[in-house]
Amino acid sequence: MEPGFEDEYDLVVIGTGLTESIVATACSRIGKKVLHLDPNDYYGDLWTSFTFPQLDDWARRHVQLAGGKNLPDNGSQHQQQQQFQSQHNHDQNNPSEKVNNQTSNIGISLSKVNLTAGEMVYPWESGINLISNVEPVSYMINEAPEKQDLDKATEEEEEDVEEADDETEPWTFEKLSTERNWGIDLVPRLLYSRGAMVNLLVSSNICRYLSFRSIERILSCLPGTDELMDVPCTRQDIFNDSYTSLIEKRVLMRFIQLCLELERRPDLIEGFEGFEEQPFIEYLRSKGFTPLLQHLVLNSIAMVDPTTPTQEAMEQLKRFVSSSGRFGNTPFLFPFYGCGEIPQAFCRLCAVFGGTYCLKRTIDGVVAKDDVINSIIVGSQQIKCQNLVCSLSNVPKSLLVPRQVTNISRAIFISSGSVKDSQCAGSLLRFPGPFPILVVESSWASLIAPKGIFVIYAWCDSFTGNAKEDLLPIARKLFNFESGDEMNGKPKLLWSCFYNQATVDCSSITDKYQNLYVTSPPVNELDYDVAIEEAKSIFDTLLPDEEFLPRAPDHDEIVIEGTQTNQEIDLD
Amino acid sequence: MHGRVKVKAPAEIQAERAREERALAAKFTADLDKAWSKRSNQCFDEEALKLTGRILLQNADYQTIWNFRREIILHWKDHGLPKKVPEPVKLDNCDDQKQDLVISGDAIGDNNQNNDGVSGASILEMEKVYMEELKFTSSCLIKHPKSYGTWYHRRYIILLMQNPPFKEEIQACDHFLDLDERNFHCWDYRRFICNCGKIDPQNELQFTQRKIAQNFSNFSSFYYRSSLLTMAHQEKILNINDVWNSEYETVSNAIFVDPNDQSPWFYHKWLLAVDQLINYQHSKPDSFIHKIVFDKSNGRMIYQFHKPLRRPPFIESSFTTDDDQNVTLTNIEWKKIEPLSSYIWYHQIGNYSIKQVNFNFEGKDFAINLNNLDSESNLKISIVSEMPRTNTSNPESKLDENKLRNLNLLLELEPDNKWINLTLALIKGGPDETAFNKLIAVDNLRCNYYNDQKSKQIWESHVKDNQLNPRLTLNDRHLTCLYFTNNLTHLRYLDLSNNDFLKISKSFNTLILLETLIMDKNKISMVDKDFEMLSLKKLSIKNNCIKNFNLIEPVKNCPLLQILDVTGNNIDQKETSILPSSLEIVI
Repeated sequence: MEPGFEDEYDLVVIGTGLTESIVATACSRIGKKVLHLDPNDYYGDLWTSFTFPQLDDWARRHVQLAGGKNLPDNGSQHQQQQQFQSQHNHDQNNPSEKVNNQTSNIGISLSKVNLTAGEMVYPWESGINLISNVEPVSYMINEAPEKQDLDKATEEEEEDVEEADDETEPWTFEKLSTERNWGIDLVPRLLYSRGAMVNLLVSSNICRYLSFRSIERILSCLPGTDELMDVPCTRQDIFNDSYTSLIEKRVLMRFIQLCLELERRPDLIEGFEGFEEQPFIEYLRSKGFTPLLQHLVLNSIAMVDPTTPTQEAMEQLKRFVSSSGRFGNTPFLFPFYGCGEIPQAFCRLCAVFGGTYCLKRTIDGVVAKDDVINSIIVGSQQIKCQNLVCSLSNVPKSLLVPRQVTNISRAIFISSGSVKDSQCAGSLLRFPGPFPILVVESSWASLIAPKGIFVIYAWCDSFTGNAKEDLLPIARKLFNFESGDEMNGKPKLLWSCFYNQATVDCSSITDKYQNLYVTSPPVNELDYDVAIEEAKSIFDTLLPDEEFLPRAPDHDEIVIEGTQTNQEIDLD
Repeated sequence: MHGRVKVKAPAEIQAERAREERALAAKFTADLDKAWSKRSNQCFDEEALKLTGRILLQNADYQTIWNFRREIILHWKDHGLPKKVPEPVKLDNCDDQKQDLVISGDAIGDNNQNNDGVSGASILEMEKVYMEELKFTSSCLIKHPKSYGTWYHRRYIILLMQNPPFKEEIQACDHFLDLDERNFHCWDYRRFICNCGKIDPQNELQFTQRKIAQNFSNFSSFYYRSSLLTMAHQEKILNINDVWNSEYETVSNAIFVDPNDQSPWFYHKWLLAVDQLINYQHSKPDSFIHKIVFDKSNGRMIYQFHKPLRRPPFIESSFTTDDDQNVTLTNIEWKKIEPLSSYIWYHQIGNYSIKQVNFNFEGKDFAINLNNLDSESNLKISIVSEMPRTNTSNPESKLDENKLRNLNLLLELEPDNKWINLTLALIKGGPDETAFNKLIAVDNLRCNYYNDQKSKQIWESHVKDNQLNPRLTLNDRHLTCLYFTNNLTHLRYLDLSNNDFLKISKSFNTLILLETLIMDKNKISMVDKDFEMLSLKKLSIKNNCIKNFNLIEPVKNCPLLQILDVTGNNIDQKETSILPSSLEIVI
């Protein structure tokens, strides 16, 4: 059944990933008519949160797909090969983005298209696949048949068995699949408490659709060991920390106070004690930082390389320190139900202001005159539109200019325990190196997994070209891969999936139509600064004189026209 | 257009909110009227309780309504629960959910047996009522966590109960202190519960440890911990010396993390003084008496104690005079220097010269031989037991080399931090001009405090060396005030010329034997209103800043004063008639 869209929209957006959703919402918020489509049957595109069965399904489809393509394993070659090849149609290679195949319908529709002079109809094919090297592995014993027997045999003691089950019954693939409370991110992020995303959510009042949990701790792997320590990053942490000496406590605390001072007085950072262009490590050494303190400040607090110029590192530190203590002990927040909630929250506000939504839909073609798109074709409907915003994977390859892509290696680990003794902690962990690896641990406490389950994400810029090769050494540091007991203190790994995700800066990636804007896939960042910046830049180009996401009214401040206004309160 | 969002105008929203508020206010006033009429009719039914509940949830500071609520409960206690059987609907809902607002009265079941208003409710019934009251105060406290009336009501109910739920109350305190760790009402209430419920101090020590780990700036936690440790030590639950090092380690961590935070410094100060405080309280009676002075000129016996006494130390004593006469005094008429508890007590003895004094103090017999008479001052001064050190400086035994080195290291790292400077100045003891001048430089707002502290240290060292000499001269020391006056009661002559005194304070009153006070070349501009020195004969305040005689008028309170020397003051008005004519005034 064809959904009845209106005949004209100010803006049509394809893809419900974060960047597109922000643009759609910003336009809708100031009164533009927005049509927002996504070929997937879920919101968020790559920015989504999956249930475990969805994730498993997603991974399997990508494995199947890659099996047909026969990609080379070698990394550097692979990277070079993965340039966008114009004019080649790899339509079949896009399993997730392409849920329904409308190409056969387009012929029928096209005959009904109204064309004015100079207008032409161009079919719209789905775009490129950004995911590769997907490798899901389950470490769980398959549904143990003897266990079922046991259940039947001990029916009389059913209650006892059930109680014991909570603790002792091993997790099985079956059990994970039947659990419902999942929110596993393909592109996990953390939000700085005073970062760009939190500020935007607060200033736009979209925050009321979301709730967050503070990340409890920042971990650091002590150099040369597998030992993880809690990084003391606030006054109270430093007080309670047992790794640092009295003097180290003083030095670290002074340094953190200095960073706070910089927040109040940005002028101090200019010509920073003569070190501004010097490597940060030199600055730390000159200030009497012990090796332990150097390690903590560099790798876990500033999260920079030793050679980063001091001024740049201090900016990072300012960001960290100013976000500390706003909502919790660490500077970071993680959304309840997973990061996929964030694009959806934007979409919700977009819809409140009249945005039209349709999943499992994309456009079948555009009607253009020269380099201007005048209308789009969805099924049998021709819809006029001023502008078209499209995520990269929804743009036909034929429209793209060739460009070098960056490959991000990602991994999702599902475990029955925390990487460091905890019942429910959220953690951030960074492994330094030429290609630093970020690890984020979330858990059932953030309502992203069934009780007792931890989901650990790791990612880095790919240096071998293959996610598994990049990230397996880290996984071995963190998890117990053996199916036996957790003898070495590390948590038991239940399931993992490695995959590579390509990204590329999409500004001016197409020059075919002047009113087509392409949004970039997720980049390797911890917060959402790049995505917000891109969305804002598209919005400012579309509507240069309009305010970007002004504060949305609360529910008691609005009336939906056509509904009854709030009734008078009965004074009796 | 249908379905489109329209943002309401601010005026519209305001009007809506105002309407809601008006409705709320109308309901509140109506409830109040009903409650008043119930009270005047002495109607103690369930509706009355509900009414007070609704009112107090809105305004928890309404004392009279709290009183009415207590009247209702007491009435039920004495006359039985009201007859009307309440709907037991809400009981299930309220039971588990602490946060539920419980308008009490709904949940009282079990009153089927018909009380005819004569016999009181059963204990069991009342315990249920009280439990509901506790829940009700919890609801109030969620909205008004610092309402005096609510906390008071909660205590009141606990005291009424046969079996108060102490454990649950401690948990409630945990909860409220998590919400606001500085809610002193709750800290007080917690101590009250621990006291009533005999809660294990170890449990409370763990609690304070947790609170300190959460925020070491909250002195409530440190303070509670210090009182718990003292108590546990006294009751032999633990030995404070066993935990001292770990306490010191904790407080050092805090000091190094934030040397500007006063909480850990206060605890640090307490730790350095704690063993002395505790030993002090365990001392035997004979070490309570510091000094006995026999004032032959005035026939007085003066006793100085190490701790302030509220009641007369003993009521009779006997003396042996120089000519071996035995005299017994009964019903001694004691006088004390401080109005309530006093370190110094004295009484008249008549015209005897005494060499030995016998008395019974706190169950122990004393026979104390007095020293020889000092002919110049006409005093016999005898030390019974050495005075303890003051609590600012007794660190040597506790602060080993390592700890002192750490403190000095902190001073190097934070040369301008007032706390480390002050702590080290006090630890070093002895007058340390440079340390205090440094403090005055870095923290000028408190310069008078530091000057006083400096004076205190100077006095301390001189008091130690001057326990028997009735004459004391302290010139050119920048003294601003008098300290340790209790240890100076034996003085006949005191010369404080060339210092920085701004006034003659009433703390001089303690020097009850002092006959000559020289305070030339200070900055004195006035004399305290309550100034009254019993034995003072000569007061010299040459070269000070006295503008007129009105400001020094209180010197006339000194009954024996004969000479007042005010030469070198810029006194504009030479009118001396406000001072007694018997006084010889040198201008």
